[in-house]
Amino acid sequence: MNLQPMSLADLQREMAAAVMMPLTADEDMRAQAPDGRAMSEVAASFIAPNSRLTAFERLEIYNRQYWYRVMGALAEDFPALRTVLGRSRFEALSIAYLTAHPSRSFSLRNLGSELSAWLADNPHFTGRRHLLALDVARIEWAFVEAFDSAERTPLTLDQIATLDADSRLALQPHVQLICLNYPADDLVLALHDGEKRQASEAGVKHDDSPEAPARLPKLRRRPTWVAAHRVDLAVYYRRLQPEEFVTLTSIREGQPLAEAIQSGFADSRIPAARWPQLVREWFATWAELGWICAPDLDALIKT
Amino acid sequence: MKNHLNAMLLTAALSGLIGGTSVAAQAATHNAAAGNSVKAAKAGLRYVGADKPAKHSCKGKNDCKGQGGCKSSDNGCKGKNSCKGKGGCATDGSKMPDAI
Repeated sequence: MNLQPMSLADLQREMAAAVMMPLTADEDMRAQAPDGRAMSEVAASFIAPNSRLTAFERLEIYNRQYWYRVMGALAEDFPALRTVLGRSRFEALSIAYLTAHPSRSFSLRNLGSELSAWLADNPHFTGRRHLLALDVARIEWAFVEAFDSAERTPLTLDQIATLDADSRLALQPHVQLICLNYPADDLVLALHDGEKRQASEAGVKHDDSPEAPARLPKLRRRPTWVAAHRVDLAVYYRRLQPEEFVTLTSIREGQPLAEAIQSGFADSRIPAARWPQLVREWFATWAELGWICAPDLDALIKT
Repeated sequence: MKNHLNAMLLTAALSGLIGGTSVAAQAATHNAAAGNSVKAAKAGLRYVGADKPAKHSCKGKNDCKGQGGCKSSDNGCKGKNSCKGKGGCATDGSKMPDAI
């Protein structure tokens, strides 16, 4: 037995590194650690064998379970992306992504937080559907964020009465603003709907998604602006006009109210005569949905 | 001219905020059900809570857990996992709705 004394922290690091190491193509533990050591030696340094299993085989169980769990969790959060790319491409992408961004949180909820940014830098994993895949990943991550991000108290009438051109507002944390290359929100809803029907018809859903990418309706590339948000514990997608999107983004960035509104119309083709009516409608809708809140009550309420 | 337009935009924003906030407040105090449906109509396309097994329900669970199968001693759960393919582990403690 090669068990060596080590501190608990070192033991945890060694175990985590081994468990999070990508599997081979046959879903076995690799023979060699990234630093060149034989994994049989690494395992034997902190795991004892038993009568039936070597230290390597015992560690391999945990290595496999880690990958099965994180791959399953990622697939669950990005079902439409998996359909768009096909199972095998999605799995290759998942392994590469999870190797670059292993689980770092106590919750698997955060596993996909870097996927969109990572995909943007790694287009070879998505092939000819890259921009569409990027859109789908953004929409599906926005769903996760909108589903469980915080909800703050919206602005009250008393607070609104104190506002002026220089006031800075904030958006509800659960409001997710997404700028898309395609009108992919409809596609994602349709794909999720199809998956739900499949699951209910089958009774229990199994991982039998097709190997190949799904045949998709022809989508024309068209910039599309969407807000994913939550109302009464349900998530909604709401299409936005580009001017509306820019104004909301400016508010979120902390621009003074008057500047935020002006920035929304900076590149607008809408006749100026229509702007006040649009602004009134947008702010009324946002207020009704509870999207607007105060960034800092002390700063907002002038005494 | 520009200042006049900017003043109109600011006034429009504030009146919109007051109107929307009043509607939301009325709905909350007088008729929550009707208010919610009006709100939902403005919210866009909805995902609803569904008939799928509760998402995240298997967080911290495993076919093998509590049954001894995961002990390295017998290797009983090699390659198995109750959560695999069901995806229930992605977030904490709450049900994730499906699309409609």
